Amino acid sequence: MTNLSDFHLVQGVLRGDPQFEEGLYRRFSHTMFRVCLRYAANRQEAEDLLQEGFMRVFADLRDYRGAGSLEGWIRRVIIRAALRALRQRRVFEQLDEQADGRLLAGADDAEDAQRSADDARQVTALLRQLPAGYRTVLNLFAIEGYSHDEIAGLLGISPGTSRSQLSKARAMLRKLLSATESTYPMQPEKMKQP
Amino acid sequence: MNDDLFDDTELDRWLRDNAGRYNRTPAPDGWDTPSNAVWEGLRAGLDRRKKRRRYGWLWLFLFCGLFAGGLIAYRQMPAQAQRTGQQTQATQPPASGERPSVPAFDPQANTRPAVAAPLTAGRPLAGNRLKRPSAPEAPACLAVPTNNPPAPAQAPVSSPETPTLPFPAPGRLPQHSIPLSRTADLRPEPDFKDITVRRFSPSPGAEGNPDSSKILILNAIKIYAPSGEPLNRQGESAAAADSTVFSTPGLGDRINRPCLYAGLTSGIFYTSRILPSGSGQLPNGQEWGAWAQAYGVRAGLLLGKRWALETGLQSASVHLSAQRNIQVRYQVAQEQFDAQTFAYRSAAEQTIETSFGAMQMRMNLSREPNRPIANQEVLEFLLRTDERVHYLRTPVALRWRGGGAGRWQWSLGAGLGINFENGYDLEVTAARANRTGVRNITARRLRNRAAGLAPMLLDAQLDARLHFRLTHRWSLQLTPEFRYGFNSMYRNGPFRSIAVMGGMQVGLFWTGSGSN
Repeated sequence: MTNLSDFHLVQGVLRGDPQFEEGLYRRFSHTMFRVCLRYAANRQEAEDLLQEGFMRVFADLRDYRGAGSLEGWIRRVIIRAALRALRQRRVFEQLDEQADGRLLAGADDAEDAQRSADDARQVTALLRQLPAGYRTVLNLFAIEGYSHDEIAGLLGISPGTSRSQLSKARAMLRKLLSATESTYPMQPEKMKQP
Repeated sequence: MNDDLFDDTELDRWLRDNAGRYNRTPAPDGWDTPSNAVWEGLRAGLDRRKKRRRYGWLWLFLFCGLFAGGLIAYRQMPAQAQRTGQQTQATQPPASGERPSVPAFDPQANTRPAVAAPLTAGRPLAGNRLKRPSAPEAPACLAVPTNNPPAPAQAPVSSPETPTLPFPAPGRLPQHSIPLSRTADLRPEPDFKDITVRRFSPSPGAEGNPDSSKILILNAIKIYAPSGEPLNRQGESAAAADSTVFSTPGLGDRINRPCLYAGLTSGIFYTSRILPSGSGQLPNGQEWGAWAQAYGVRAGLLLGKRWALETGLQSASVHLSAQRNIQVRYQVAQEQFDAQTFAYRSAAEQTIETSFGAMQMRMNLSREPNRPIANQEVLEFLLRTDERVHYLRTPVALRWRGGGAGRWQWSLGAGLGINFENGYDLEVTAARANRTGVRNITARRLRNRAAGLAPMLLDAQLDARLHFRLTHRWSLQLTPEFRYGFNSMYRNGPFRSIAVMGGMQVGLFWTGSGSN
């Protein structure tokens, strides 16, 4: 199953073959779990988002035309499913309220952020300490490359709110980085990587 | 912190480079590896979806089969009725001497041409082309049965119960009356609104061409036999039509013809359950029923003047809210800690008892550092749950139509329903342990593991339906309904749990007619 191309994997899934379904999941679960970890408040929620997202992937796989990479398509589906799930849980309802100044003190996240040598893990842990609204807007704008108008459409907020949330998210992230770096300095060459 | 990160663009790039890179190789320490429970839940969800798809096709085929069967029966019946009519005519030919003649139509007195096609009593008058009146009469098959005793099949023209009017002389036809010249004259006119049965006695000495004695009166369908007796569109006498069980004059030809109806329903039901006493262990704590929405399609086939067989497909659910103390032997799978709290994660095999039986559930606990939780320690929780079992329901009910007045009718229905479980939701709305030191609990059901539920439920239904006729074919229906489960909602559960529900449904129904 590991040697199969994405195309053949998709064909197998569309035939309803359970082995191919598992193969698709195993191939992309790590990558997509990282995505979910960036949007979720904790690991448990990330697992929920991953499961819901992959259910959506299997349901919508017929819509994949092979135009772009399969991984990119799955990532978009997972992100949209995650946003939908978070929206159903009313995570974004308090976007306009005063969320700044309060970090989400996840014990394991702070620990991850300080002790991990893995940059991806460190950044993910830092992001998870941000309030949900900040985290989501920062993810969508800085990492996924969505515009403010697109973010507004996805989250059901105004573009102005998206901009202000992004600005606050950056400020809070810098604060977190400063606090982290005072204990475990990050290596400059890594930060300057293009 | 690097000064570059004070620039927004640099910060975004740094984020993208570090968190946005996607590597298919999992991290060595497994931080980006989801637990196996995710795949297990996904597998179960995919299997359920495939199963649901198969059942969906099955129900669709069943529904289409029922619809097609009804349609075929509906199409077959008029031909039989027609054959029966022809046989009757052949075995009992009316004597020409008994038939009073009627005056011939004078073409000078009317702009319409004279009658060309001969018609006799009992012969269908190109009835296939006739449309029923557009007035909001019920389709014949749904007409309210009357309690009046049927009139004799061949009532005399001069029957005292029937008002008799003198048959109009040539040139003195009632307003809007025309002679029947060709079958095209039988087509409905735009102002064709009502059906009025009036009788005309032949004027004395009005012997003439019997062919010209058939007259169609617009705005009041009247087709006269040579006897001067009005005919309905099948060529039967009005008296014969009056002998039907239906009170709607002129529609008696559709007597006992199967008729199909179908519609959409939506409603709400208060759902609860009964735990038969003495049947075993009862759950602790309190439990409440809740309102649940139901919607679907229904279709029925009329089996006579009063009876109908009804079926359909409906989405139904049983909704329960519960609050109970549960005792759990906590299986510690993972322990995490920081400076302030210790956190535990239970094993995936951890089960707790819910309203619908044992569920596998993962519980995370945080506690004070100086109060550890040992593996397999018995903990007591106050668990509040909100549980919904979703069913796909197919009722099969027999309906008896009682009667009604004007646009209103009522009917009673009783039957059985088969419910196939097709989903389960469990929300743990609050949880608290009475163990000192436990600060917080989060519980999460491992998805699609409602193994304690019975996959199928059989219930009995009883309803009373009120019909309000909107138009000729469309009607609104209001149905208070009660259902009672026969078998337990559990499969191998510790006690029997019988679903009961009562509620109200509204429906918009279309009724096919008995027209040819």
